[in-house]
Amino acid sequence: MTLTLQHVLIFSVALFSIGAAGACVRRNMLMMLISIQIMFSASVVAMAGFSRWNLLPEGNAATFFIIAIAAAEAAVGLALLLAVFTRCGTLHADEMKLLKD
Amino acid sequence: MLETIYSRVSLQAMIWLVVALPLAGALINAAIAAAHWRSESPGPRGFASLVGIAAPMGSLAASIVLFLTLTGFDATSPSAITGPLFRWVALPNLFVDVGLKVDELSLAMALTVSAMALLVHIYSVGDMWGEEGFFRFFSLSNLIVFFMLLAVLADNLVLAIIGSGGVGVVSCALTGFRLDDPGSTKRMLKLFVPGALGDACILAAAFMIFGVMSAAEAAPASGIFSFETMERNAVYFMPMATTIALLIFGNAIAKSGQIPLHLWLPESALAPIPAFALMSTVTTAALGLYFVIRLNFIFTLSHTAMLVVGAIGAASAIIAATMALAERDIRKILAFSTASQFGLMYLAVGIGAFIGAAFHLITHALFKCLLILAAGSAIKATSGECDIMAMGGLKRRMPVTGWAFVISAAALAGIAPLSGFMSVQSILGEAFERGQVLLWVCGFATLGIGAFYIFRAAGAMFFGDSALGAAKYKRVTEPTMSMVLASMILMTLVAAAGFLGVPQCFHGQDRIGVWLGGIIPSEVGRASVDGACGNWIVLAAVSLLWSAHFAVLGWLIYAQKRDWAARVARRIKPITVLVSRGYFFDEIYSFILVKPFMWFSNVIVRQGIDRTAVDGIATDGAARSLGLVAALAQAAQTGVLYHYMLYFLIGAIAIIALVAL
Repeated sequence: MTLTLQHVLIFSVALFSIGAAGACVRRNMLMMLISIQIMFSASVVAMAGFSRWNLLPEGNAATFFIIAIAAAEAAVGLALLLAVFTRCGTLHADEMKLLKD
Repeated sequence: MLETIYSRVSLQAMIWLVVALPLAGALINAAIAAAHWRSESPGPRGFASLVGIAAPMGSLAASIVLFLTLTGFDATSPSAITGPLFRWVALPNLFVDVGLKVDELSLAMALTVSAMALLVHIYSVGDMWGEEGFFRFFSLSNLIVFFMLLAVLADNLVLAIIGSGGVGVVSCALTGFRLDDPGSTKRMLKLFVPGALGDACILAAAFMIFGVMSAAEAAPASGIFSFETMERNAVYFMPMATTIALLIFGNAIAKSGQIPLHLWLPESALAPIPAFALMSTVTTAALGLYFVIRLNFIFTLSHTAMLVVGAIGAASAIIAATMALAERDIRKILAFSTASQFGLMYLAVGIGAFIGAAFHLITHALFKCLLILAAGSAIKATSGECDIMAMGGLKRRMPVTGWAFVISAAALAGIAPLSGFMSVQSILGEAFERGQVLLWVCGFATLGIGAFYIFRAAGAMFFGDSALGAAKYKRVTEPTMSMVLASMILMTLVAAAGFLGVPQCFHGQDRIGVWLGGIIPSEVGRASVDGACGNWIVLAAVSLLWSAHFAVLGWLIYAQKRDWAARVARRIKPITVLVSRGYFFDEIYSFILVKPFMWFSNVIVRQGIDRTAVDGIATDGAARSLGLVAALAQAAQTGVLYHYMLYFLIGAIAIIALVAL
């Protein structure tokens, strides 16, 4: 059995779904941030797969970009979480309903 | 002196001056009133009253010059037209010029109106001096004189209707003159509704006249609505005469306060006294009769219309007179008396005695004006006391006013040889002469009741013991100079004016009859005087005795034995209540007109259409459906983080699905 683009894409979709489900279901904001990172990874996998099978270098370049941006996003997200935690004393998402106002 | 006037002012300009001067006075005083609106300073009262008096004085002078000029030509009838100032309406088959015409009737009216206006204005300087709206009053009273003169001098019906409408509006303004009085809105409404009804009637008559005249194809260059054209083609009115005449009389009922629409007169009596004097003698009330006399050629065509006019006139004369019997407010007594006297004039019209009606219009203007002004002086002297039973003995403190009231009351009662006697005799004699015995009886009864109620007022106010209280009685004095002066001039006129129309049976000249004979054809104007003079003299003597004994009786009872009257009134309590409540006209109107209208407004329009349909379905419905959408949108905003995440995902999937499929 050879590895084809389909396998890679199925893997990517599975990974994305896990991430999405985690982001929706988990209440802890740290876990939600990790889930978002998982969705990032899924898109990176899809990107790399397209690049490998279509023989295009741009996909790999985009992959690097995404990894860099994901790192920056994680940094910003963690900073936000820290700020929220110092302010509210919890990271439980149900406690945060300020978005309503 | 006339020569110098002629060299400077043309005849046409003189006619225009009669009308224009009061308008100028009204405008000047309106400007002063606007400049001093709610200002603390008294303002230029002297100047304003000078302007206010000068305007009707100028009109009177111009009318006198016109009279002297026009009677100077022997051969022709004394009439003149100004020609059109401008063409107001120009349609293919209809045009209306703005132009004035002076003839016997309009000259007589112009002289009466401007003379009365002059005296009332002189009086009102003293009466209104302390009032806040001094300038407004002079502006409005000049304006009502302007509109009245415009109406009586107009050479066509349309312009006369415009003048009449103006008189109606200014009457409303004068009735609601006291702005701080919460009742004045209601009073204005009570005056406005009949006035509007009358205007609607005369407008409908004008439309029908237009129909008749354009169908007759007799419209010459001077326009369909010109009185002259109408009179010349009077025969074409034959098929429509009853309807048109009744519509014109509908206007007269409303304007002169005749029986079904008489309720505004007692309301207008609560206006300032000079305004009341103007409205109930020479302007508003006289206007209705003026139209009837002016359009007499339509009335004489219809026997039915004449019958209705006579019947309503007689009913008003008697019913209003009995209302005056039971009233205690002197102003309202005089208002009911006005309705009653105008009823007498319409009675005269009903028998075809147009000249008698016109003569009584003039003499009534004189003596009623004096009655109202003297009553006003008494009210002012007693610091606002209007109840005749609360006055008494005033003549000892204010002799001129007292004499003025007594003389004019005697004129109203028809005591010889005062002005009222002559005019009433010319009406009653005519009625008897033409065999209208029923109408004659009504007129005769009115005369007796009139003598009683007016001498009741005179006795209670000016004679006997004072009911005022010693301190207040001591303060009663003659009012200011201008009021006394006006009363004295009027007193002379009231005494003398009757000699203008001494019937030929009494070896008089009957100047009024001869003068107006040019306008009103002799066969409908006056009965022949051959051989019937015996009747006239007997009738005059009988009616003199009749009214004199009622006058003495009224005077005696109310000057000396006031408790008699009260005891009699208690004895016949149901009748007293019926009469003093004005035969429940107010209640009847309330029941058949006001209540259903209010019910319709409240239940159908307000609750049905407005609340349910407009508010409930349209306005509130739109708002509520928007509110529903808003509530749905709001429900999505939970503030919970992963809900937003879910929406985001769903949205992303939906977009991808849209693109992919």
